[in-house]
Amino acid sequence: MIYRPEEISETIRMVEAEHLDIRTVTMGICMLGCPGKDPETVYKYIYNMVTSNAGRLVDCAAEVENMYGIPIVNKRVSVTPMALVLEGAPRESFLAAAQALERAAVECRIDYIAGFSALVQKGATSGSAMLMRSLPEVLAATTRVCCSVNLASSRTGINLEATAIMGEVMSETAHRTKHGAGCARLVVFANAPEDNPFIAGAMHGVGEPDVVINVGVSGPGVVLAAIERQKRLESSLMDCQTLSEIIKRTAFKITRAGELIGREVVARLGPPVRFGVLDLSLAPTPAEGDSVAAIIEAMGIERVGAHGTTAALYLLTEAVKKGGVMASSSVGGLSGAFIPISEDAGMVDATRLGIMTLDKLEAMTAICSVGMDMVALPGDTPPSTIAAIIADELAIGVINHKTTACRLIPIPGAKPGDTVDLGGLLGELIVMDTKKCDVSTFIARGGRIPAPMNSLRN
Amino acid sequence: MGKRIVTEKDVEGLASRGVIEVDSGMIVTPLAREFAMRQGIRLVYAEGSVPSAESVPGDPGSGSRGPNDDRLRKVIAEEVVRALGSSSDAGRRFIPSYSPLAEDDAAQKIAAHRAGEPNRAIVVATGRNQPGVAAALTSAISDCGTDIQDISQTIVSNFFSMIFVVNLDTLKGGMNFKEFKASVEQAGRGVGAEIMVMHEAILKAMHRI
Repeated sequence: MIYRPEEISETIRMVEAEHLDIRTVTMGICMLGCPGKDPETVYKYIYNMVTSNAGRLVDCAAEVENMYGIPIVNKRVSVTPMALVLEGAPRESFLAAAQALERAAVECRIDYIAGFSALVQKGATSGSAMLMRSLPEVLAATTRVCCSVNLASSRTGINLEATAIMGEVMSETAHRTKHGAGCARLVVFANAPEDNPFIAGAMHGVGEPDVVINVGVSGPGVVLAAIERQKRLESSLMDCQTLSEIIKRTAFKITRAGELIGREVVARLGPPVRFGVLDLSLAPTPAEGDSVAAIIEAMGIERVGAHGTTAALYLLTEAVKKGGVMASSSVGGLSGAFIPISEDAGMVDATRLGIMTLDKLEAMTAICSVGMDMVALPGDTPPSTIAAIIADELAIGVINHKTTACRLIPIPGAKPGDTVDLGGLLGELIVMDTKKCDVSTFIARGGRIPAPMNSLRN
Repeated sequence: MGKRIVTEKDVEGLASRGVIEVDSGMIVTPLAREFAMRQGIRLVYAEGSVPSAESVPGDPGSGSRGPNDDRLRKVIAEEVVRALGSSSDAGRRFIPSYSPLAEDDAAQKIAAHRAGEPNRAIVVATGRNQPGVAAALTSAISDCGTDIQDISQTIVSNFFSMIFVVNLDTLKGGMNFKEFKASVEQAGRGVGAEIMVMHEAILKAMHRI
């Protein structure tokens, strides 16, 4: 036989029992050619660009799914940061752009479309400021548009003025949408990547070609199963190198499958669509066993969030990257492990038990790919405290030359420990406790926290 | 017509002249070229001669792969001048180094790459053993016009597992992978077998480097 039966059955097992899937195939579309700034022109241009490029995305992805038997869970679209497209445009054009994105997403059968974004790491242009201020309204008026703002970078430091504004924007958005769910589509970044395929923080950077396909591979379930299987085979305790080796091998296979599928989708869509990057992030879902927390627990940490979690996460994230980089020359995006609180069953449990706290989560974000993802806060959290949580997270990203992000959801009326179910992929939120101290004076200082020493690399 | 191989020795012999003329009937070995360079001997290539010995195996007849570098450069330069000259804003025109639409031929590249690769499917059937299971599946596969290239079968007590490697090149006219998959799956359901059909490429990607 050309393939050993074990190889065939391993592939089948990965797909059928261990949730091996391609988490997302995201099409990035350049919008810089918008011919005008008035609402009507903006609306038409954006709608046409999305529908003409992404109209066949869902069908092409379905054909490829059928061919290889590996599900492509999400088909999504990201666009050029809208603040760049709409610089100099009136406020109505921003709302028109959001509506155009929303309608185009419906038309293309896409659940989320991202790129209603601004890059303000050093300072905000008038267009970027207008975009930030329009976010609560945009998020309330749409259900599929995802927004992001890059507030800091390792080159520029932290734009604290914009951070303060985003604290207010998040608070306002929470009050304008049910359960604050609008905040699940709003991310703030330090060092935002320009080719990240994962919603809600996706955007199509200015250094990208016209249309690209970026693929987010996933598979925490597959990694977990591989570890569990090896544990049954070994009589003695596995050492960390062995553990790392198993994760690397699994990541290699997942990545190869992802690249094959991404390139196949590109081939079917035809020019001018190009293959962009593979994002190696392990992204959990609320499904049983499809959990990053469960991998950490399988390594011997009783509950995620306990002491030792950060080290275990480091082992995991590094091994995933090493296996993935070996498998593909097109690795990019965020590439790490996602630890969204609500989307990971193990994280939800640990939060409920009070083992996973905001502070531990913050420490973990120094290692994993994103940051404070899907964190529910009490409804009465002041905007300055939200901004301060963001600023802490940005600081970790800036000083470590890595991407960090915050997707915070202040839930109106909720108290620490409350449970709110946002449903679907977003999962169940447990409201976390914040420190009740006043930090408003620090946040009100505004300006920019200067770039770190290690930004001076030339 | 045989060619004369110019070796290091020959170059040594001709060294006194300082210049060696290479014509189309001569092949200069790499070692000879290196020696000439070290000794400061100039190799002058006549028109149509072979500047490199590497082209010999592929093209033994004509002895030529095209004009030598200098001539090629000259021709290109003339063409560029002509192209620029014919346009009204010559000299100021921006010539893009590539066009994203023309250059990105990923689809064709992939198709061409595929052309040499086997187009096969893996069919895995599992279920409770009963008379006629193998017959039902193999006839469903052959009804699609496809050819079974390999079979592996295991039976444990009452259960069987069968793996078929099926060549899709001969798939019946008008039938695509999706229809093939559907028809085999349907045949499996008829005999209570669980069927999984996947293209070979995924196995190759995951298990072969």
